[in-house]
Amino acid sequence: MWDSILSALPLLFSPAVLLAMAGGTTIGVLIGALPGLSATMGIAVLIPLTFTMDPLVALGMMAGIYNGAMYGGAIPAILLRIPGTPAGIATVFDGHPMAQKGQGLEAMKIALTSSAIGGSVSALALLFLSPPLAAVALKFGPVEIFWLAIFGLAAISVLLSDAPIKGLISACLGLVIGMVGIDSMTGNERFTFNVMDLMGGIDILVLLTGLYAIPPALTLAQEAMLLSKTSIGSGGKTRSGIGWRRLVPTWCRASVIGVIVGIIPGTGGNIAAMLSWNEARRVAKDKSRFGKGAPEGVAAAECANNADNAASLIPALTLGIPGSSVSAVILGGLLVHGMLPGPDLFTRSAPVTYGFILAMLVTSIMLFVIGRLGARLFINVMYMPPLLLAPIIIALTTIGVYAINNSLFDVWLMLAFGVMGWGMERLKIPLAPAVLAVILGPVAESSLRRAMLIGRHEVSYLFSSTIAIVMVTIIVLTILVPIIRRLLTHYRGRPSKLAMASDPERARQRFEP
Amino acid sequence: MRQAVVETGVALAGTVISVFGLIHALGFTRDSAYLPVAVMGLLTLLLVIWGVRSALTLRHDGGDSIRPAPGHVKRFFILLATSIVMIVAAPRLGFATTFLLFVPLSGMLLGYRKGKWLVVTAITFSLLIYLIFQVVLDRPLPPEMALRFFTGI
Repeated sequence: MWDSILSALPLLFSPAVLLAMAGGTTIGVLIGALPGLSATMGIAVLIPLTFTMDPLVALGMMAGIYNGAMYGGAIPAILLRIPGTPAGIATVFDGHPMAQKGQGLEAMKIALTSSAIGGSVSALALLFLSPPLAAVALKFGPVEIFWLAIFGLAAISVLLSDAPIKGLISACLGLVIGMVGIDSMTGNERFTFNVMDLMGGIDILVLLTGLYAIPPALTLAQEAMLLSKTSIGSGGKTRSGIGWRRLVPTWCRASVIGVIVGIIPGTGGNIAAMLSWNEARRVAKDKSRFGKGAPEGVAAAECANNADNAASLIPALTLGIPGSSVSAVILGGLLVHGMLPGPDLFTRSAPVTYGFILAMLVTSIMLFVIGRLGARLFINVMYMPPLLLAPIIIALTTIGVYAINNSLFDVWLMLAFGVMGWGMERLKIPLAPAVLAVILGPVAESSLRRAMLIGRHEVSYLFSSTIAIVMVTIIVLTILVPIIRRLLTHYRGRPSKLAMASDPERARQRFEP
Repeated sequence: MRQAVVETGVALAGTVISVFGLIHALGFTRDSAYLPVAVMGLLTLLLVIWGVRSALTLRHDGGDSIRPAPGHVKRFFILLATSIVMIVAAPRLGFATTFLLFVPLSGMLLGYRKGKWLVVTAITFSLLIYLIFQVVLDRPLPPEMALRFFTGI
């Protein structure tokens, strides 16, 4: 591991990668600061632009956008009471009351420092937990890989939506999209309908850009929220003196919560932030301060949602199972640069993989510097008119997707996926299972075929190893437990903390003072 | 309109398409067919369950109602329509040239009224796009009509 880290360092600190990381972090904060745009959208729009770059330059930029956007979401959450990203919801609770007391800039400083700390802890967790997990995963045969892919699909399908059925529909849609094209094992066409452009399959980038970049643009244009100078203010000038030392225990707890939540597929920064904020309030001597501008509340939420970032990449990089939409998009980025997610990343592409992990750490530190230097700029970005921003996003994605294969068909397909994604969001059908299924579907299918060949077409071979049986048990539990919990909730009429945390509206009603 | 009405309609339409997909998948050769058939079968089943649940919600309490503001619907279709026109025009006029027209036109039709900013944004964005894709990334894109118009090249 240390050899790989040492070989990655010169690549990481090359001028191009440093510039990409700094640029990515700045762009990330700007994207996060704009309500309605997210890290997922930012990365999806920019992946096509990174197509011709060196892998580490592209991945360094993605790492910067990811970390930057998570902090950026705190800016409108504090100043406007509008979370820039879903993970910024818990920041509203204490951040906005601080801004109302004239301590907006102090709240932003706490959010920035907490985000940098959370992001750094998360990157270290990714650095030290991934290699042992990848070493275990290397021992997996086709049977285990098949069940692992099914587990990833089941977890994200069931956990990401209020209604598991909608998550499963999304996953099935993704599996169908992943099957379009010529079957690599038999050479037969599947779902191509004799359209030449579909023979090679649907490019993952076209799907990612369509699903994650077009719907926010359409929503921005629809809602056309215009902000005035008076609604934002300058962040305030009141200085009460931040007791940094008393935030240390909050950061420790929030980092642990963020990392653990991040590793679990199907969760996300919003759940980590909500649980962490609730935990900070639970252990506080004076609970009444929470929701009225407690600095610990801002620190807990922001530290946890950034501690979720790199941790959510642990299952993605080691097992090839992205646990969230943003890690699915990053996996798409890896695929574009010829890196197949899974344990092989840590052997065949070790320098670039470790370089990317270290980029998550470096961009967390860069975030602190860039956030301090550009605070005023990031506040001003909220004035950007969405009615101009929406066509710009559409234009950027159009040329980005066209430039991949010089194919206008891809652009039409992207627009179609965009409209489909917009519709899915309106119907509360999660997008992530579809994307995950496109990535995991072919992995599951080829593993199943290899397993059946080895097992001479005996289905019992799929249950022949202990790991396989354990995985099947976990899959059954993953599907059944949320369904049973929902049934119990339905009969008791009281939702669980996790369910509340995963539903922003419900969480706001329950927690917000 | 009720959310459940929309969901029932989408589920019904989805089921029809899914059954069509299932029949299509049954025509694949044996080795290529089993996963498509399994997935399309499962998708059909899930869509039927979703449709039935939505219909039941509609029958019991009607469920949540959705009432999009007229401006929302209008702006959605304006952006979609201008995007379609932009995609048709881009290979003929060149991407940067098309964006020079698309960004201010869309912005204006969507309701943005600051003319100076429309023009400045469009010119800056189109220039950046040209520089990034043609100069820095050197992507083979259609020739720019604006460039031909201004320079005669």
